[in-house]
Amino acid sequence: MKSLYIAEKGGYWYKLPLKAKFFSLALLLLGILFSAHQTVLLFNLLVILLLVAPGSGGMVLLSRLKAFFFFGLFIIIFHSILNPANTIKVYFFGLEGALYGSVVAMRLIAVVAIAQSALITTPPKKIFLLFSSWNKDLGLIMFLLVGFIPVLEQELVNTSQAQQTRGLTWNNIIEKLIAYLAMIIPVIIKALYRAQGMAALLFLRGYDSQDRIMAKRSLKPLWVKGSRILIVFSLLFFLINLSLFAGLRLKVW
Amino acid sequence: MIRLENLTVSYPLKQEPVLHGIDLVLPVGHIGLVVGGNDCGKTTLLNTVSGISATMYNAVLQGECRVEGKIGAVLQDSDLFLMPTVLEELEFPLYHYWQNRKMVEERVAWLGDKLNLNYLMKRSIHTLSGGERQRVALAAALAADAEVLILDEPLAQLDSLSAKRTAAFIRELADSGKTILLASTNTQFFHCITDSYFWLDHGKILWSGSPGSFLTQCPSARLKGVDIYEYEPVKPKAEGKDSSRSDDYDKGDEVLHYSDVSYAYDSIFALNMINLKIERGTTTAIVGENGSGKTTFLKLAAAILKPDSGKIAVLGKDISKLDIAEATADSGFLFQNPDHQIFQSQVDKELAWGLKKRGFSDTEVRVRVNSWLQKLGLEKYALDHPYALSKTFRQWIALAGVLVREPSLLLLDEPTFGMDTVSTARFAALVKEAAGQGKSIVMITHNDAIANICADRVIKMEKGRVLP
Repeated sequence: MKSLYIAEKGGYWYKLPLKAKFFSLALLLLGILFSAHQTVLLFNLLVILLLVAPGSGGMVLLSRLKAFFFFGLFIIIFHSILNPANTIKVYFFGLEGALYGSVVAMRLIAVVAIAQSALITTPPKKIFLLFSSWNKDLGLIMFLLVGFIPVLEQELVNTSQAQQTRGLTWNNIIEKLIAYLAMIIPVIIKALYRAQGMAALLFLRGYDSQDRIMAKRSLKPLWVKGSRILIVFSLLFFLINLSLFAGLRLKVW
Repeated sequence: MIRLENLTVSYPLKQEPVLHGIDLVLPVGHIGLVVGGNDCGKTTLLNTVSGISATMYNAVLQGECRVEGKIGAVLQDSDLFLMPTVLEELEFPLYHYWQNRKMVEERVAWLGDKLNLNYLMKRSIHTLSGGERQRVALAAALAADAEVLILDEPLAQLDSLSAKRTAAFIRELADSGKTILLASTNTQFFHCITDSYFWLDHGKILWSGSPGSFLTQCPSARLKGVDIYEYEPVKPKAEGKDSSRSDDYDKGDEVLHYSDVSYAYDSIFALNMINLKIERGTTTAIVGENGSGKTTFLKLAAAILKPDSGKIAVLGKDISKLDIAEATADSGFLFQNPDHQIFQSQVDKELAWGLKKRGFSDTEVRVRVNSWLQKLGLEKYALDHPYALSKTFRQWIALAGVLVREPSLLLLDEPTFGMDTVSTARFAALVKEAAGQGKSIVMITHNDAIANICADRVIKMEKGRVLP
């Protein structure tokens, strides 16, 4: 099973110092949240995809986003048919709903793209280092979380294989839905059991949040050569979005 | 050193205490082995000593439980781990010393040498085989250099060679001043290294003393599931020598036929050009070292994995184009870990589920489920939640889920893992009975006794190849 991190050196997100990377990604994220208008958001999304995709292995990121493109399409269709605010209708597609849905979908894709680019290019151990430099327990929590996802995925595969050896078939959509339901409940229960076991393991391996000397490795500071352009760019991105938001939405000026 | 005096342990929701009046003293540098059948309280005793019972499971302790020194432990469930890769798992307990990078590296290298893990360091743990995982768990418990080691069935999934090597290493650790408490149903590899035995039955220590006198003083232990005898080593058997069984099947009728089968995980070969025929109506045991491709071999037969090259025919049908459900239409697959297979909230529902999916009628389902529950002695637990029962019971339930359909080919992946001798003997009887009914059985096992008793043919695997 694949882990979230992909260890091929493919772009500048790999080479960036840790703090600078997370700082500029956070600014980009804030910029998305403050996008004032759907056209601005569309522009922002394109900027982010152009910035993020080539820096983190390109096709890998896009292939992980594929599911979210389809999900975004589903959101748009869902809102255009069912949103109660629809007044202008082309056949049965409401325009207001479609607009609203597309804003939600674009936000989602942008957020996932940012998160994925961070996860693809940062080894879990580094995530641990970064977060535990802020809070000792937070690092471990993030680390276990990132490590847990592939395990859960594996658990899902195992369970579905076991069910298929006993006669589960996947021929139509209803069967598929029922199969997923039958799969998800035991996987959640097993995840809870596993969590308890992992807590026991943490206890046994001497992890104690009271007195602990955790990793204090020197992380490169934020403002170093090589990361300055990106930090300035993302700061600008954030500030422009913020001022547009203030102008268009809050009517400050 | 470990000192337990009149220790009684009970869980809040259970009326009966799990352990009563345990007295146990283990001086520094000694190895103590807690022996006992399934459900005798071994795991609770070890968890109490290591401190998990009280902190994690809210157990109530009465009496004295004193452990001097830092504790390292291996849990029974080797599926549990914290970090994604082997190297990180071993480094994690050493994070205290992170500034001293060199020390961490030295320690990990030492562990890798001693437990033969160096070739696994970069692999992620969930791709390892059961035995490899267990070695990693042991190494992680040793990493922080604890004075007291609590090991729950540390050798259960290991092949006999690495079990022997690991047992010798455990002795070496004790000689260097560690106190080690082990638990096992099987004394095979522990006999020569242990200083004292503690025979636990129904939560009480019935006998304690040196290993040599256990056999003479407690002959009844074997009846309670403790294995106190050495096995004969398993010998590869030739095909079809067993003439004791009534043979009214066509000879040469193959139940499994592998031709030039290869399979690789991420470009690491697990199976390399396998050519093999297994005849109908025979019982075949697959043995071999950990990570030699046994589980992969079996999973290919159920179409869970698709071969990279070559052809596989099961019961005369080519399964390369079929999905899992079609490929296992007349075969049953038991997974290595019973928890992969159990997903219903009641034992009887669990058994009935597979039958319903295969289109049996309701009355048929009821009859079969009841008869198999009775046969396996599970009828008392028919309405229980499988996860409320012990792991051995879950193993029986998973096995029952496979057997209840009465398929003509059984593919069993380590069916007796963690079972005591009583359960193992019952399992052997079941296999013999099924074989007598003309069923073909292919099973992976590390238990030489099972291979000797049940199998007509023993196939040895090494590094992805079948040894001739």
